[in-house]
Amino acid sequence: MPIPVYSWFLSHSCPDPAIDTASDPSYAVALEMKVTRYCPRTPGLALLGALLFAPLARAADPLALRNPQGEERGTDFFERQVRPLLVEYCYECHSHEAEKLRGNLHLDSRPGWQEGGDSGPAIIPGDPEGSLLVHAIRYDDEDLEMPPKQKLPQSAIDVLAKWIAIGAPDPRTTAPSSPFEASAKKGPPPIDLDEGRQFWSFQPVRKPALPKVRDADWPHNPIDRFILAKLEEKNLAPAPDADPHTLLRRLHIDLTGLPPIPAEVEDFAGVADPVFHLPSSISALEKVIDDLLQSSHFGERWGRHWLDLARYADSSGGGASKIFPDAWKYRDFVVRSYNDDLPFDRFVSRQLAGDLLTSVTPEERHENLVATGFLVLGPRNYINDDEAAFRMDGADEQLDSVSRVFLGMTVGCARCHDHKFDPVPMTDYYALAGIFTSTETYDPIPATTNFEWNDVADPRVDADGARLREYESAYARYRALAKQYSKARSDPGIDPAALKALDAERLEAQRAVPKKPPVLMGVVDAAAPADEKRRVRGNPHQPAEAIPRGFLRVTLREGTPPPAIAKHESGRRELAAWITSPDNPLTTRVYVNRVWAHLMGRGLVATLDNFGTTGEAPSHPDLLDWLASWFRENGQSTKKLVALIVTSHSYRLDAAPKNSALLRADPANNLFDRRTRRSLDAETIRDSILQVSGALDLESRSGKPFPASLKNEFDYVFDDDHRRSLYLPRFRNNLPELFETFDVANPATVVGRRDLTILSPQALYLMNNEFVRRESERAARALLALDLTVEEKIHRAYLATLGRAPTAEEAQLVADFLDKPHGRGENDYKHALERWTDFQHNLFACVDFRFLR
Amino acid sequence: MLRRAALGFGSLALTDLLARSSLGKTIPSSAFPNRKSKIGNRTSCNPLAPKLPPLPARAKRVIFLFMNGGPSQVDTFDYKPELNRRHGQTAEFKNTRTRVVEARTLMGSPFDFSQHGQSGAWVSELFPHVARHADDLCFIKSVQTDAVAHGPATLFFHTGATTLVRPSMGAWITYGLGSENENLPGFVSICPSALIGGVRNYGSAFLPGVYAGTALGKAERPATEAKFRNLPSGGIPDAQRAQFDLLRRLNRTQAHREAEPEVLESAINSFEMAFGMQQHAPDIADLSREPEGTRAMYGIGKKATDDFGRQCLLARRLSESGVRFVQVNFTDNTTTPKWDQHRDLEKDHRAHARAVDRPIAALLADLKQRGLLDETLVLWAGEFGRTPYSENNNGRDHNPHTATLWMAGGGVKRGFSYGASDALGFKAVENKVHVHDLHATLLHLLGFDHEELTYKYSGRPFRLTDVYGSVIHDIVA
Repeated sequence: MPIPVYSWFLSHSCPDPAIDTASDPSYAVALEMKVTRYCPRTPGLALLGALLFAPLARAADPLALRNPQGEERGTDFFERQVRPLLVEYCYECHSHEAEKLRGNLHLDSRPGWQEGGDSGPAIIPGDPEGSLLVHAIRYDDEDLEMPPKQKLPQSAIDVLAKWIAIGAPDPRTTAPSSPFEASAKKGPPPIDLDEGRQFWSFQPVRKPALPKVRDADWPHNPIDRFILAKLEEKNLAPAPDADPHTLLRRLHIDLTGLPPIPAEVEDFAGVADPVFHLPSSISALEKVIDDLLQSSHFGERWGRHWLDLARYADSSGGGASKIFPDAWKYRDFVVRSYNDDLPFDRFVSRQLAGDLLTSVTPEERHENLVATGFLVLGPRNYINDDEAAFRMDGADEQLDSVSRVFLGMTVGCARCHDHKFDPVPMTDYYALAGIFTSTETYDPIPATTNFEWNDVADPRVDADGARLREYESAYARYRALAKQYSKARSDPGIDPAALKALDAERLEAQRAVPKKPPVLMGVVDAAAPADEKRRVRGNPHQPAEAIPRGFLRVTLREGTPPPAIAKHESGRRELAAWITSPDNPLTTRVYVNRVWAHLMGRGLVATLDNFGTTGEAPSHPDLLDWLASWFRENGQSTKKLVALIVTSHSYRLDAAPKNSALLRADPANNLFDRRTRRSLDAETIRDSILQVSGALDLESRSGKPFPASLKNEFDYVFDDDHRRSLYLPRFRNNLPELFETFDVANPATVVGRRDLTILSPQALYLMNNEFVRRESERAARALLALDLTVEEKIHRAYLATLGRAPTAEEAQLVADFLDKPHGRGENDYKHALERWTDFQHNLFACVDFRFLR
Repeated sequence: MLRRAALGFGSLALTDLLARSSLGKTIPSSAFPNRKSKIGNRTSCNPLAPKLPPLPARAKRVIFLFMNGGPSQVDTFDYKPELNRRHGQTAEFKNTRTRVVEARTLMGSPFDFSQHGQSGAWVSELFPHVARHADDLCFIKSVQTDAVAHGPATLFFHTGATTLVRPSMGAWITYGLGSENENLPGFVSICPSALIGGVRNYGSAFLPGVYAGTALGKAERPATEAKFRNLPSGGIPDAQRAQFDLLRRLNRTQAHREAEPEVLESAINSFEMAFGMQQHAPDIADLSREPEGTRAMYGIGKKATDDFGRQCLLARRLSESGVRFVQVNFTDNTTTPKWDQHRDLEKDHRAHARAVDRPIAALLADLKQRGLLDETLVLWAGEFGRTPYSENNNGRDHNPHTATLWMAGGGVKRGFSYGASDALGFKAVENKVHVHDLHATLLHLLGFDHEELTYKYSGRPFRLTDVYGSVIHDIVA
């Protein structure tokens, strides 16, 4: 039975080197022996234990057994009083027989406590005050109270302290051997980076030659050669091409997130021949593609994909979710970047280190700064309960997002220990963490214990940031006085005159706070960049050695020195350079794979955010590398890459015909031999409904998505807002119902691919939600107002909603439905409207609307 | 094979275990596609189908009565005569927020305590009705948490993490057990707060969205509005029936053309199910179906108790209908939720207790008389406790060092008390129970090893208890 090497870990979250006590009989025996030997509640057996160990004890410590006062000394004291305590209270977690060793500390041998655990030596013989163990059992430090559940009785604490004071005599000179010893103490062997580099995704990208194919006519561009070659290997032929109307809806939605309007469907059907090889069709198709790529809606669609990755939101989420007043500027930057086809490497560099890049104009500087919002707008809990944790969690969120978005790596695992699956040592994690803890992402709110995200001056209006500094210092002065005042007010002994003066001063300071100048949400380097200390088991309160800032070493070629980081900088400039470097084996592969997946339904690597060893292997490794190379050779242009993919023959395929051999040979369509249906995402469902009803507002775009006066995201009501979904506020704790129902990307996490479900609450939404009904009625009113026959109106509704004409059967079903007597009083427009509304409502609910063919 | 972990639940979830369903009605397996399945739409299964836990379970479902704000332990269930004796004296405490040691004034409880039941449990005058159930309750008087502020502490209680984004315990439990009722979600939160973590307290984070809690109603809105969304009551009007009939026909013609109709079929089935829900599910939220006597028992119709009474009765109806995890929220949409008495503790605690006491007692009695209490675990808890020293003369500050909660039914000992705080009620000193331990114990009672209920995300397995938590076996009956 093939078991993946990592299967053991599946049952243990962040596994300790655990052992199985249940299925190993020898262990059970050992456990029993342990108990009977030392259980202090059974004195007879304890005595037996003492006798059994007495010879050993004497051998180890032949000196005094009792001091002149007759007190027990040395190992006898240990055997009679100390060992039973250790066994009863400590061994459960701190011995070789522990089911789970805690803190890497063994208290069942002298070398165990001498070497100590993660926090260092536990006992310093002769020095109880200097011994960590004593502090722990006395509960001196809130972060280290042992045993954790209940403090020891004072008599036990005294015994252990005394034992240490007399030099901690301990006959247990060698660590017990146990079958689990190797894994228990030593942990897994250190990560071998050279071996790690052998994994496919860490190998350099190479541009492969185009494969040869038998059917030379089928390929339209190089992509098709790779796809067809694999199929021919298996003696399969791809599915036929899709109809023009199917292809048109596919292109419109894939490229702009909006369905074609009836005129576009009719135009295209007029020029496109069902056989796409004809030159007239090709040029018509190319024109459609070109227009869509040039449309401003392209950036809205593809920007949204990026915003899913960037976990973009207009509020912080967390315990007290706060509104981000300026996050939308990042959103608009992303949309602009896609519309302007900003080369991907520059797109990346700006987001990681825009503040450190040189810019010529204030506008360029603005773009560079606003892009760094990527690092700030993650989910945060700005209530500071624990500053050390706040700081390390913040850096963790940043580095985890950066590594998943750009590198397809899950580095977060290495926060507490070396990565269990991928070649990422814990030190690499802290090398990266140092870059982010050297970056100013949040500021303390003056005179409080809480924080707020970092603002940077808008270079277009506040070139040197003087206005922002002025505002900040005036605000800080006001906050300090306000705090002083409120403290004074609750002081019963305060002089009323002094209080009044303080109040006046406070109000004066408040008046003196200038209007806040326009700001951007972004980062700058911290005042004193520094390497971060490794944290023992990820505990923010247990710093260990400092780790020089750096990157994932596995991505660096063997023998290549890591890029040097300037001492006075955070290292984000170098981070950006390393991520966008042509030598980085991950970045381009990860990005082209994302673009491919959005268009083709699944990635060449199916796990879009995980190119590590637990991810899936590429289905077409050569095609992936060819695309990555091509992308680099073509100016890292997303639009060109999209154009390349959508002009391939592979993109145009239809679903498999009934009884096709493809269904048996490749049931999951791993070979991209046909089109797989995909559900529309939440935004496309909403925008399409609004477009069909005629209510979609395509003009209101960029800008703040909510009124500046909004104090609380829950006060925001989404009703009657007809902007494209992208431009609605995206509050982490208040999403429109349609978004929640149709699996919108959770803005708390990096989402490379939405898991689109098919569930009954969605059906209930489509059947009963006011929004769908209201827009159906709006569309029906518009239809009824047209001077067309019933058949023509049905036809038009189909074109608008599904991008195709009704089949004869459908037209008949609908006509019959509209024609049926209704028994609610004759006449009237009202009845007709209701029937047409029902019909339009059904078009929004039917499967051909929901799925993109 | 030494390592049983090869059978980790995470690797089995959504495949084998789903097929083992045996409780209640099961939804036809074609109703939902398993979109995560390696073999795409060839296999399909319902992610909410009821599942048997891997270990023997003591409870089948949970009702969590969340007392947001942090009710004071020394004024409710953790009787501290020593504190009352030293009322007005000063003592030194390490400030729970700043960790600076300072002299504070002790405040005895303004409420009278008395002993109740065979077990002799001490309960303050705030909970006269709950006190009658003393012999059904299992108190834990040594609960500790990681956070001092409402937001982080509430998130921590629900998700086991203060700042990181993690699934709620209800989502974990639904992931593990599915829903017992095909017409209902597995996890419902009644009148949740929009603040203090908001949706994250009933969210699924990285677990599939189907395991997220469904909110019925919202805080600060009357509980009469706590209904399923998009589920009009009154059945299905004829016009809609005719409309739906057309939809069915249109969908059939569209699906008919497909060589691989499975995904389309699942969408079509989702409408059939929705149709069924519309016929049956609204009844569950309709409290007018309950006899007047039952409604009165919950305090419905009385100003003080009407709202929480409705929530509790709704919880019983949902729970009885097979919802795995029902959360009843006593909260609001402020950053200083309900029980957060930094001042005026006597007045406000009295008002809050009056609002919840009778409904909670009614819920316990009702579950018991219906034979549901044995397999339903009721949990009463806030996000933290409060200080024995005063704040603003007549209030108490947050206290993460000890809190008291109780459980009832679902396999916990009856008339039992576990753990203890110090003489003043400031810090747990005996049998400390961390929130991680509580989570581990909840999962244990439901039939899971908390270390094995995992979900793989971002390249590694996650669990509710992170790398912590141990089961409190001493409270298991």
